[in-house]
Amino acid sequence: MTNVQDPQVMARDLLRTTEMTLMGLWLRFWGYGGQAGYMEFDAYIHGVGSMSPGDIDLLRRAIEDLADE
Amino acid sequence: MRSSGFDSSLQRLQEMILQSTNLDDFLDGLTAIGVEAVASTVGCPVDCSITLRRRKRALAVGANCAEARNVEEAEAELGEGPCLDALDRNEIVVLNDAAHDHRWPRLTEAMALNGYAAAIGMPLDIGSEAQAAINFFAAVPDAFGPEAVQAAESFASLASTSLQLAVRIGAEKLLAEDLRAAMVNRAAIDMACGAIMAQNRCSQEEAFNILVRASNNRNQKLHAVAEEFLRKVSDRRGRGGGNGGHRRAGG
Repeated sequence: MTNVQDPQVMARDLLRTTEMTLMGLWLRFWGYGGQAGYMEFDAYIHGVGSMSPGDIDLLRRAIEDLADE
Repeated sequence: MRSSGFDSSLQRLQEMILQSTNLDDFLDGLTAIGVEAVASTVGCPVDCSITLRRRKRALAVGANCAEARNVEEAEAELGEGPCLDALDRNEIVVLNDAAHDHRWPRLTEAMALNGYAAAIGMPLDIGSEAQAAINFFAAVPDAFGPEAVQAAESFASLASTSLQLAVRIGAEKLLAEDLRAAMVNRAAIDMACGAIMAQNRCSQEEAFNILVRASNNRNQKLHAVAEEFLRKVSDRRGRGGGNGGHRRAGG
C-alpha cells in the first residue's frame, strides 16, 4: 500500500521519474489547503526541514491523487 | 545568403508561435512550413514530420499529413529510423532509397506502406532542455539532392529558434494552468472551512479536519467535498431555510 510509504520519499521519486516539477507539486499541495510555503516545502522534501503532520498528510494526498490521474 | 523564402518562412514561424494554442498545433504548422521551404529544391511532392523529445516526457510528434505522421509515429514506436538517428547522433541522415537501404528494415517497411521511398533526418538544435529532429519524405528514390539537403538544413536552423520558444511557452502555460487549478481548489477549501467554522463554532484547524475526515470517508478529493458542502450551504440559504445551529459537515 502507498499509505505506508513516506511522502517525502514518494515526492522525491515523483520529481525524479516524472515530468512533475517542485513548483507543480507545491501548487497542488497548496491547492489542497497546505500551509507550508514553497521554501519550507522544498526543504522538507529534500530532507533539510520539517512540516506539520497535517501538511505531510496533504502532501501524501496530493501525490496519491496524482497517481490516480 | 538570405533568400525571400527564408524571410517568409521566418515570418510564418513567428506568427505561428503567437497563434498556436498548443504545442501539437505548433509542431504540425512547423512541418507545413518545412514542406514549403524544401519543395522547390525537390522534383516531386515532399512531406515533413517532426519528433520532439523532452526530459521525462512522452515524445511529441507533428506532421503536415497523415502519411508522414504514420511514419513518424512508427519510427517512435519501432525506435529506429533516420529521424531518431539524427536525434541521437546530432547529424544529418539521408535515406536515398528505402528499397535498397537496410539500416532500418522495419521503418522502411512503414515508409513503403505510406508511399515513401526517400527521407532526410535533420537534427534541430534547441538547447539543453529538449531535443528535436525533422524528417522530410518523398515518394521518389534519390529525390533529395545536395540542394534539398541544404534547404532542409537552413530551414532546420530557422525552426530551431521558433521551436525552442514554443517549448518554453508551452511549459509556462502548463504552470499557469496548475496555478489556476490550485487557486480554484484552495478557494473552495478555504471557503468551506469558513462556513464550517461559522456553523460549528470551531477553529479553522478543526474545520479543516472535518473536511479531511469527510474526504476520507467518502473517498472523494478534498476540494470536491468542499465544493459539494458549499453547494449545499448556498442551496439552503437560497431556500431561505436551514435549521441553523450545530449541524456538522460531512460524515
